[in-house]
Amino acid sequence: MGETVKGENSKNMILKVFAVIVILAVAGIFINVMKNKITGFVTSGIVEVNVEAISSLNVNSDVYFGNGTISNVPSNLTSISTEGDDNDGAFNNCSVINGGVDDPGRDCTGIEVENNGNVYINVTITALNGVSGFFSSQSLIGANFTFAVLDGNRTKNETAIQIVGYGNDVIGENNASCHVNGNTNQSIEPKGSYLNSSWMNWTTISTDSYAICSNLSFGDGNDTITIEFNLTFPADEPVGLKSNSFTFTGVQAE
Amino acid sequence: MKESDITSTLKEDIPKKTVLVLLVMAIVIVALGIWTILDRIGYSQIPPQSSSGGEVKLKIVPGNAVDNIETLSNVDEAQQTLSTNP
Repeated sequence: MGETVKGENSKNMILKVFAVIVILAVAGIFINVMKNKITGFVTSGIVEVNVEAISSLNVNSDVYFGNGTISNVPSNLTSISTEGDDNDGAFNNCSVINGGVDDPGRDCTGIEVENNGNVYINVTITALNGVSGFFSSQSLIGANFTFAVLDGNRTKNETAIQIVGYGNDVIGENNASCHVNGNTNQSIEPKGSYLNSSWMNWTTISTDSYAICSNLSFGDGNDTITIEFNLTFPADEPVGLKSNSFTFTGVQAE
Repeated sequence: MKESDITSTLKEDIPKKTVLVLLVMAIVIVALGIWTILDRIGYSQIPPQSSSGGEVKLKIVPGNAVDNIETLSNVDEAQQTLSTNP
């Protein structure tokens, strides 16, 4: 009889201990999971706030060159550029914002990408069509569709680099939008383009992903880059509407 | 005490309600554990990212840009001729 009572006591004790452990485990898991969902809580009079990282970018403008004619003479092909103020064949003048910011239908000052999140981001560009996919020409002789990347906005008045017109190493990265990434030692790619076509590092577009800024800053100022484009039409390019889409992806920089 | 005796004693001594409660709690623990693991994997594998699109567009209209330039040059020359000849 005594053994039976002793055994029951020990079993009850084991059950109680097990129940306590289970309750603690449930509570621990619950708190652990909810920790990342809670943005603020009070402990002993101290307010702790966990600000979540938001990787977010916005494309502020498209490029519309307008209507124009092209050359059918192979030795004198038509070229147009978002950096050009006198594009061939009556295409738009891209040195100014035609019609203002709210008139994207006549604007060809470049595609402006802005970091509107709260962390540095790595930005990549991917073209929907490559050179051969964009042009309908049979020969594709002389066909070219290139891009270059400039620091700052498309009105060219955001960063000190835009205003003065030199590279990051001269101005200092605090006055630039695209900073140098400490891990990769990369900033803008393709690098070296200067404002106002003094020199542009034109690079052929690709349907593969291409990193154009490894560390784009955030905040109200110094948070944009502008992608410029340059096109050369083959002499046998047929008339009609031409369009190419570009996808920009921003991931938190490491 | 034989093993069969211990088993039978345990079966008799533990109330069904207790077993049921423990079973429910075990299921909850397993569910929360799986949720936690999946949540962590989700955080580590998918970095937050954002995508947006831009477009380059133009329209090629009939005509020859070189011819147009030549035509414009001819007009300029004609205007100069007119302006120089009273």
